[in-house]
Amino acid sequence: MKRKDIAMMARSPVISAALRILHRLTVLLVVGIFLIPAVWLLSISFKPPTEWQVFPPNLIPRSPTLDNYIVLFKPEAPKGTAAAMLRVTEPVTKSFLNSIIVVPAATAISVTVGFLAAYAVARFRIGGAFMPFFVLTTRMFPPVAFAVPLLVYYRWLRLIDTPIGLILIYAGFTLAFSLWMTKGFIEGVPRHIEEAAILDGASPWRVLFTITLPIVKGGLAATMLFVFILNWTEFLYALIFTSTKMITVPVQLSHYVGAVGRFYGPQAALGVIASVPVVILGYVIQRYLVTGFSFGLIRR
Amino acid sequence: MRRLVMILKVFPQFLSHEKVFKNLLVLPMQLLLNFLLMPPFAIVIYLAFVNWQPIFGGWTEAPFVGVSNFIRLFSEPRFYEALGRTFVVAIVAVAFEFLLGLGLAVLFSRPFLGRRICTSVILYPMMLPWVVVGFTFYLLFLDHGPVNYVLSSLFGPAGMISWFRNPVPAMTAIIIGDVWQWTPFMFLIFYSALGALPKDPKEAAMTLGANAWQIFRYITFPMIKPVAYVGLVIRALECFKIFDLVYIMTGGGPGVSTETLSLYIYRVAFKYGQLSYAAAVAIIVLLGIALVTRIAVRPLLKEAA
Amino acid sequence: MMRKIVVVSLVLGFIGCIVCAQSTPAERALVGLSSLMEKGVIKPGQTFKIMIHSGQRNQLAPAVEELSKLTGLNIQLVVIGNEPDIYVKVMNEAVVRTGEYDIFLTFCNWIGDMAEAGVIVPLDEWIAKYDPEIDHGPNRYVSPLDKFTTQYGGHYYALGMDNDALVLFYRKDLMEDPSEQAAFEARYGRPLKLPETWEEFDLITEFFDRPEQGMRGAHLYAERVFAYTSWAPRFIAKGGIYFDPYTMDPMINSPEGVAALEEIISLVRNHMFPEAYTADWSAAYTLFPEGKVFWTIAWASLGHWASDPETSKIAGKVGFAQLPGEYHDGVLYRATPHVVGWSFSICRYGKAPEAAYLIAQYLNDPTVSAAAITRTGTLDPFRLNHFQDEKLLAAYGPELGPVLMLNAEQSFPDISLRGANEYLDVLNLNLQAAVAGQISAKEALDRVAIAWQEITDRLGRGRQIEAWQQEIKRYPKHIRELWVKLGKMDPHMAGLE
Repeated sequence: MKRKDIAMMARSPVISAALRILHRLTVLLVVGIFLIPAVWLLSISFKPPTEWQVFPPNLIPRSPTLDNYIVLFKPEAPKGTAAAMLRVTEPVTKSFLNSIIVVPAATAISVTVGFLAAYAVARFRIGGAFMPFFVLTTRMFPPVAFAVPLLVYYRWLRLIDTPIGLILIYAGFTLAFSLWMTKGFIEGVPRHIEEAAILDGASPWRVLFTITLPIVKGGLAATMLFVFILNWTEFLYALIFTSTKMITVPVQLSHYVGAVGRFYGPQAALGVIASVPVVILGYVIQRYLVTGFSFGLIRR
Repeated sequence: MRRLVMILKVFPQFLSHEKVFKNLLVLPMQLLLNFLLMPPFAIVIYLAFVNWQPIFGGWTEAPFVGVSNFIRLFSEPRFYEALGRTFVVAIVAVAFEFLLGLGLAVLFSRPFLGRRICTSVILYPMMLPWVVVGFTFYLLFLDHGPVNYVLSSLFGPAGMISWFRNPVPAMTAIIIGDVWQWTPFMFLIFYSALGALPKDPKEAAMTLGANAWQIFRYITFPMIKPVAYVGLVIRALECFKIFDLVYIMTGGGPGVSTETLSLYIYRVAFKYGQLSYAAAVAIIVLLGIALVTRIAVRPLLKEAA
Repeated sequence: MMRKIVVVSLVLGFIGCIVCAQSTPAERALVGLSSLMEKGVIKPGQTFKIMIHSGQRNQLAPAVEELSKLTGLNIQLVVIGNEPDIYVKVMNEAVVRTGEYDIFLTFCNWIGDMAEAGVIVPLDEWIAKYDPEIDHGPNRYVSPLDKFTTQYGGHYYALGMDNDALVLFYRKDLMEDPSEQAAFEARYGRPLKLPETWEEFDLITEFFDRPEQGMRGAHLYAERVFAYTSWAPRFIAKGGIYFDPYTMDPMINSPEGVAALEEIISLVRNHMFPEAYTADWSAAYTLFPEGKVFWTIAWASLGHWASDPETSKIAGKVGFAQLPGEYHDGVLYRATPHVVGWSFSICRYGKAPEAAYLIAQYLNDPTVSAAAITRTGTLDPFRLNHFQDEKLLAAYGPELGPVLMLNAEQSFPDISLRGANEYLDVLNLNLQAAVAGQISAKEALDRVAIAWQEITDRLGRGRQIEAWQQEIKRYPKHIRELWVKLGKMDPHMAGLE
């Protein structure tokens, strides 16, 4: 058969329908596999302590309970031996408030600063080969070894256990991501589009914000989501640089530990709840991820 | 007064001058990084050349010991074992994450009903706090946990694996956990890269009779290569520092057979309190990774196409 | 003005003396606090922060609230989740000295590190002045806990708040079942009873190991963090000692140590669930109450958990026993490990250490602590009066009380020297590696010995010898007598004359 015939066949309705079904099935299979640990996590969050490690394991809790969720917000509410044991810390509302203050601010700073710098690096090669690489080295250093020296410095600056302190740390340590990821997306924008705008008399600022920025919206959104996730789930520095006022959600999560070990139920419940804002953010930005553009549409 | 007006008129032009423009753009980043990171890094270097632990007293009075911390590091087998182990884990995990992420992104590249929800599901693992991912996989892979339950249902009791008893199954479980948690990252990178591609070249190729594989290989993939490469480097860097999953699932055990580099440094710094030695280890790790990465990212630092 | 102050102080002091004669540590603490307030050292509404572990919050919160009301101070509990994180934060405080915390509630074997780092203050003076009744009086601590939860290197640094002597929990119904007893006697030629020696323990474990019925013989800790708690009691009961008291050479790879480890390896391999050495330490709290193992050695809190029908399938069938030991010359020497255990220490950089001490003394008071420990949490009874408190005993199970006391009396401390975490971590990881079959018992302990020598040299052998010689004297008397009997040291070194 000639290639033309095969191509014609590929366009036949039957085969494309079959391919479509295969495609959907594959998607469902993949989604299903990805869901398994998450479903297990959800299952644990509704189980009482006696069921957290039993064998044979059961997906549906034998005696489902909402205590794991309730105890997060009202530690005194659940009754009974098992529940009394879970009464280990304050309600989670304060930690959520702290996270909601610190993480979006740090993310916004990081992505903005990183994007601006990335444009200069991508288009003007500022800093040559050294500077962007140097920024990347901030991610190569083991955070553990940096903690105490940074703590000493922060003590001197009186920034321990303050919102600004944590925001600066989160912004600074994710700058490398913001820079490199947005740089990659900026470099994907064909230069001649920008050059055309400059020839038309636009200032570099205008080009940056009205030409390039809309095209890399998707990349920015992805970067922002990733940096948000990194900051939202960060534990080590949150633990070390806060004491009482600025505890974030991951640190609060670590409190659910006690006489019989880690409290998987409440930690699972808090993990589920903590992921909700991130999931919402992820869903919302998807709109920006599939821009796709045509060469013919760059004229404004 | 006239001078002020002149300055005001010239100011926008001044800002648009290329040199001013590009330096102004990087200024915030330089300020932030220099302010935040320089002084502590100086302390780290200082610590690496003294002999100090908190139980010895003040850090400013610690005795200078030259390079003895580094000498100790280079003769420490536990360090080399951790290093080798970490390489293996990082290479295997990142390879899987790259391929799976790419495959998933291609699978999701054409719109279909419920795509947004499915994408949210795929992205979900990244969004959980790492402690939660750690203990979820720990519980899944327990000797008497769900994974073994499924294995024993399929293959009988002989099919059950004691995951944490030996380093190889333990590392496998850890890699599976890491792949679950971070494939979404590669997926996100590829998905947004594919989504940002212009449609014209693809449509042009299709009218010329190219099939899907040819389009992907010769048109699509080259266009997403820069972003893909960045994603790969970033992910590899992060995976090399893998800590959380190992800490929760095995604690580095049995013995130290699953101890990764980050776990080793953590133990030395925070459990044994040897902050000087930890600083020396960290510096060597930094230099090593920087060297390897420098070679790897050379193509990215050259002039873009 | 000066005259007035002198007169008031004299009167207060006089009243104080009278009060001291028949008062309680709590009352003395309150008097002390109000006198500090009069002198202006502390002010009403001043904040004090106590760093605790989440497991104690339920127990301490009501007492802290009460004290805040009584004194007009603002006393807060700051909760930390992971126990290693507490160590990290205390050591960070030693470096940066923020003064954020006033009191620490930490593992008592960290006191060495904390004292050497200078972050906690010696308490000798205040203990002499305010008398928290540690080692005298009807409400004193169970001996020898009074020594090893409070001291380091010859000084007081802490007020012990806990009793973590392990207990042997077993299936009473099976142990007392006549058909089981007959079968045991037929098989081994001796009666089935609570073990006196580890050899008997191993035999009974073998007897009750019934994998076909879904029950294994025992669950003992053999994992990354607490493996040493299974090995140490055998080692000590055989007459072992961690370090030579004259040279600080490690002695864990002596024949006693190797024999003890080989016993553990054999038990784990043959009569326990394999996850004994990979699961985290809470596995005991699942396996035993589910009826999946015949017995286990764990903290006292398991007793409560296993006896409550809400959380246990074997409620009503649980027995409590002393840990076994070894015979030497016809005399039985038992040894129980006292594993970690919480105690209060006072931060040097707080704004008012003496007031902080008084707050800790109040919480440590016999009645206040009894009420606290009755509530669910990680603190366990440690004073004599606790073991007579009906409510408290009811919360634990009335039979557990006396057994816990016996185990406490025969208990020995974790290594509490400077660098304790290092010594114990290296020991643990090698013990676990041996149990996992990666290396032999002898080789594991030899590696530990080499590592321990290096640690000791790095930290300064002279100081370590001094501290170890002090620590030896805190071991229970019968163990020290055993060491002398076996020729490991002279009676003077053992503190016996």
